[in-house]
Amino acid sequence: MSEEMELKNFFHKTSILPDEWKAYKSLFTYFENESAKKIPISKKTHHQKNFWWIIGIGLSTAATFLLLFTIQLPTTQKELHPLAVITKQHDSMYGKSVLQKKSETKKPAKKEEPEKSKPARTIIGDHPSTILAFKNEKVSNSNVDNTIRNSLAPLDKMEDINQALQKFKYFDLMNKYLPNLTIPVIKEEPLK
Amino acid sequence: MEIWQNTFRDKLYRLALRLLNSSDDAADIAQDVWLKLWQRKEEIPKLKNAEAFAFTMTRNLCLDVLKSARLKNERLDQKHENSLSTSNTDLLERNEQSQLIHQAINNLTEQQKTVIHLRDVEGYELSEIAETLNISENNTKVILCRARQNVREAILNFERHEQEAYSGFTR
Repeated sequence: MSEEMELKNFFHKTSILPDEWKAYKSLFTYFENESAKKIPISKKTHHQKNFWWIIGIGLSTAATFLLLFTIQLPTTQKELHPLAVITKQHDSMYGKSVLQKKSETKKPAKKEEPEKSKPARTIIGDHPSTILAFKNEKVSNSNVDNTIRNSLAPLDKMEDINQALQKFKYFDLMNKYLPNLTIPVIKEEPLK
Repeated sequence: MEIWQNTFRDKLYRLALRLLNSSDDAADIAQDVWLKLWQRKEEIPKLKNAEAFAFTMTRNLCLDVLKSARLKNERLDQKHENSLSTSNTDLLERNEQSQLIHQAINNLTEQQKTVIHLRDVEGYELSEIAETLNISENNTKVILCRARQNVREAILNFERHEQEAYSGFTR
């Protein structure tokens, strides 16, 4: 042991050595370096690891739900065709809900009567607000008139508005050609 | 007392590192051994040589790790290879000789590694090493002698190859 210590000290202190001995110097240096190694202290505790683990799981779950909702939403919001809307109106007018019709179609084929129960629909009138009626169905004229009148009601309102705005049509011209004209204030009388 | 604890734990870590070649696994083993020692703290004063007992535990645990799973072994080999490959890039910057010695010691058997480590790195007496390995002192001496011889041969072979390569280059 003492001899080994002497050798160790010799190679540690002596810098100038013959080439064949240089390997031994590096050997002793290596042993010294190895003996200086220390156990690494991990900074990450288990709590920190768990915390990041939980956050990761939470984020991934949220992302999954978000993805699922974004995929499903467009399929649920289907725009109805205008013709279908009118058909719905017609059905509601005759006291038939859409759900009832659906249930009727789901009935087995045996119980269903031949095509008599399913008359083809025809379009009555050329206006967009036309309704669909079954071929053999008797549609009273009053019903048709009511439907058309109801659909044209917004247009009547528009005409009223246009009439109301008619007064202001000449204001621009007056401002252009008679800029200095003062308009007398007219007291409005209540309508009779 | 605390300093002794830290230094001794470092010793356990170094031995595990020598046998496993993995810093993380070595640290885990050192911690495990330390924990087991703590659990048996009442028995320690009764022991003849507590340090030898701890080293035996460390060595046994390391051997268990090496033997238990083949996959684990492959992983460790992979790690070792990676460490060598990465260190190859630093070979010019770092001491080439120390790298060679490291490889030469790693190529030894587990027993030779343990003996040369405990003797030359940690500076333990042959009797203590014999007690750790549960073998006779003479046997320990023989193992140490063979281990050193193998390391020396590895170094000499490397130097011979280098000289041959240099002479071939100059021709």
